[in-house]
Amino acid sequence: MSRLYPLAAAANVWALVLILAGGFAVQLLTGELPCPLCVMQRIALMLCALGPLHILISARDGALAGRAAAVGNGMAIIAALLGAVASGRQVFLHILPGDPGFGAPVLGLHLYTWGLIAFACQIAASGVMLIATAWLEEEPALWGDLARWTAIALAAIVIANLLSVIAEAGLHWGLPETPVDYLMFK
Amino acid sequence: MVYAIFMLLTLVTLAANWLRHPLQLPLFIVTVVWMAVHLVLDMTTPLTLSF
Repeated sequence: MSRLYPLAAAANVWALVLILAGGFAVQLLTGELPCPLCVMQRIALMLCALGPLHILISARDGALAGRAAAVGNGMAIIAALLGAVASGRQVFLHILPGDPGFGAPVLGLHLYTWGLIAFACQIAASGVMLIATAWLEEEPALWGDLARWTAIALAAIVIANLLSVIAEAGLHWGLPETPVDYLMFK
Repeated sequence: MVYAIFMLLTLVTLAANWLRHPLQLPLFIVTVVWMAVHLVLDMTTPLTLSF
């Protein structure tokens, strides 16, 4: 169990990185820029990933303690609750019959609906991981390389989104409600 | 720019996490709380993040 636990945490981070990459791909392929609420959800996904990354980093040099597992899962749950509020708000803004929603649906659901599902899944996964600490024993598990590459992947997607939001907002404090252009280049 | 600041805070928190710096949790908490305040203000004032 102790060897599988950091592996599960790494899988959690990579799943969130792939979700963020997917949202970025939709932005680049369809030209639909993220609205302010969409950006908040992306940031919440990044913050969610910091939780399991904390667990993975704690395990990188030796035994994973229950304390690190608790802190990491707690971080993920809090960030997921924040993201769920943002996603839920956006779902409710477009819930009336006849409302086309914001942006094109992907596989039948809008991205903010997929976001709400993702945050709910993150809360459930963190709950399972917390229960799994009951079987966590302090035996050494060296995950240095996995932790390094996982941290690099998360940092890369954060930096990509950072550059994108700077390009989108230009020198303005906020974002327009319905962004259509990268204001930095106008 | 405010969203860039949130992302920068996330990046700095990631770096603090990697370095096992004592500020990793305070930075995470500050980012989450600030974002939560931003969301609540959107729901209660004409700040209008929403679309």
